Amino acid sequence: MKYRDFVVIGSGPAALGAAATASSLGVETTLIGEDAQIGGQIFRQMATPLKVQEPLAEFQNQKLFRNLKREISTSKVQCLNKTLVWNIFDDRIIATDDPRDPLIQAKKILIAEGAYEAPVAFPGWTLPGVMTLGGVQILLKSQGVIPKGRVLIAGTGPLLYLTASQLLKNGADIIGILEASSFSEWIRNSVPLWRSLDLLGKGVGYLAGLKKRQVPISFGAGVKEALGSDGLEEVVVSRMDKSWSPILGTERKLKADVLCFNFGFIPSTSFTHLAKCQHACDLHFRGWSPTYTSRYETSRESIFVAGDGTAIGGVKMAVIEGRIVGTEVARQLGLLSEVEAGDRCLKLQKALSRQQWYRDFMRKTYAYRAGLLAFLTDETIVCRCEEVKLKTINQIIEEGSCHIEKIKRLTRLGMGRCQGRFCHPTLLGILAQRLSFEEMITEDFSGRPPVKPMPLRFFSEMASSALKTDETCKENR
Amino acid sequence: MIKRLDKVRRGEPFTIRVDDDVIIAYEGETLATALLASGKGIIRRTLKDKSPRSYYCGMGICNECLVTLENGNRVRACQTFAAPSLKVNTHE
Repeated sequence: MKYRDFVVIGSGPAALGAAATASSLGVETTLIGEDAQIGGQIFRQMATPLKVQEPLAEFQNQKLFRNLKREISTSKVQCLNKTLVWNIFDDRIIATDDPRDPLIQAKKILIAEGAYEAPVAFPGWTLPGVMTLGGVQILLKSQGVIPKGRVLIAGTGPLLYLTASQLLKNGADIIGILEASSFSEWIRNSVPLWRSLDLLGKGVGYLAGLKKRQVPISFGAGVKEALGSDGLEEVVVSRMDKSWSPILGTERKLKADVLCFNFGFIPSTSFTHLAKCQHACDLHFRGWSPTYTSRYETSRESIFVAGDGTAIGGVKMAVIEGRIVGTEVARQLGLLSEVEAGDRCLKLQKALSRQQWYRDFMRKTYAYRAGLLAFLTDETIVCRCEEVKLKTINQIIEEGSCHIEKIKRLTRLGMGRCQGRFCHPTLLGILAQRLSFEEMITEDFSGRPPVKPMPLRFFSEMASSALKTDETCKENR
Repeated sequence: MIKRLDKVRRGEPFTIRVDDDVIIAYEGETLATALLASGKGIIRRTLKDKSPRSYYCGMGICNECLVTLENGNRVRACQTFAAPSLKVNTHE
C-alpha cells in the first residue's frame, strides 16, 4: 500500500487548482485522472497523434489551462493518468485499478469529479443518432470529426449556440436550433452575460454566424419524439409552454440524422456517495449536492469537494475552489499557520464571490421545469441501462412504493452500469410530484463499489498479487 | 453518423475487425469514432428489447457504447483507443 498526504481524484480545473496550490505549500500531492491527459472535460484536447493547425473549436480559458499545466509540471505533484479510482474505503484508503499496488492511504482527499449532462427523457431518446451536446463536442475537439447529414440541436442555454457555431464552422449541416425558452425569456435570461463585453461580443458573433447561414432558431420549442427503426430518421417538433410542457396540436415533423440536445449539467456525486458523505437533494437540477463547510470539507472529516461536483459554476470558480481546498489541506497538515491560511482563503473567497454571478446565471438558465415530464409516455424508457419504462415505475408507485431506494429494488432502475446517473434525475422529477419538499430533500441512494464496471479478472489478479506479497513477507521473516 | 474532417492530420490508417467486417481507423481515434465513421450507427442491442443503442455521452459514464474485445472484456468504445488488428464483437 502507498501512503500519500493529499490525493486529488479528478484532473479538471478544480483538481488542478488544488494540486498546484497544495504542492506549492509543501504538501505531498498525488493527482489521479482517468484520461490519458490532464484537464478533465472542459480542457479536453485533441487525442495524440491527431493534429490540427488551428483548433477546431475556440478553446475557452486557454490561458488559464496553460498556466495551470505549467504550475503542475514545475511542481512535485505526482500525476497518475489513465488510472481509475473504483472505491474509497473507510479510513481514506483509495482503491485504483493498478492490480499490483491498488491501494493508497491518504491523509486528505479531494473529490473533484465534475459534472455531466442532465438527462431529459422523451420518446425515442435512446435511438442511435440521439446524443448529448457534450458528446458531439468531444467528437469534434478530441477526435476531429463532425456529425454527418442533417443535424438538429435542441434544449436550452448558451451551449446550443456555441456548439452550433462550432459545428457550422467545420462544415456540419445544422438544420435548426430548438430553444425551450420563449424569445423574451431568452433575452431576459441572457442579460447577466452582457456584463462581460467579451462574452457579449462572442455571443453576438455566434448568433450573427447562425443568421448568415440561415439556421432557423425556434423559441419555445422542443423535441416531442425521435423516430426511426435502427437509428434516428425523423423528429417530431412541438411548441412548449412556460413550464416546458408540449402544447398539443403544434407538432410538425422534421427529417434529421443526428439530434444533439442539452438541458444543463448535474454535479457528479459517485465518489461522494461511495465515501458516505452527506448530500442534499436539489430539484433545481434534479440531483444531489454534497454538503460542505466554507473550506469545502464534506461531512466526512478530511474529505473535500470542489468544482462543478459541488454545484455548477464553471471553470474559474472551480479553480478558485480547488485553491481554497489546497490551502486548507496545507493548514490541516501543519504546513500553514491559521493566520496565513485565513488571509489566503479570504482573498480566494473574494475572487470567488466575483464569479458568483456565473453560478447564478447557470442555475437560472438550466433550472428544471416539471413540464418536461409531460413529454414522457408509458412506453418511454426512463432507465436506459435496465430498460425500465415509465409505465413500470408508475405501476410501482401506484402500489405504494414512492422512494428511490424502494423503486430501485423493485424495478432495477439505477442498478445498471451507469449506476443511476441517467435515470435518477428523471425519477426525482417524477417523485417530486408526489412527495413533500421535506421528503424530497432527504431522498438519496446508496453508492456501492466499484464506481465503474471492472472485469472480475482485475480482482483475481489483485488477490493473487496480494497473496504473493504475503508469501514473500512470510518467507522473509 | 460522423465524418472525419480533412483539415485534421492523421497518421497511416490501419484496419480493425468488427464482427465479420473490416473497418479503418487512425491512431488517436477511439473505437466509437472508428465505428461511427465507418457507417456502423448501431453499437449494441439491449438485452431485453434488443433495442439499438449508440454513442450518447461521449465521456465514458453512460455505458451505452459497449463492445466486446477478443479477450472477452466488455469495454466502452468511446474510452478505448483503436489499435492495429484489434478484433471487436458487437453482438456480446
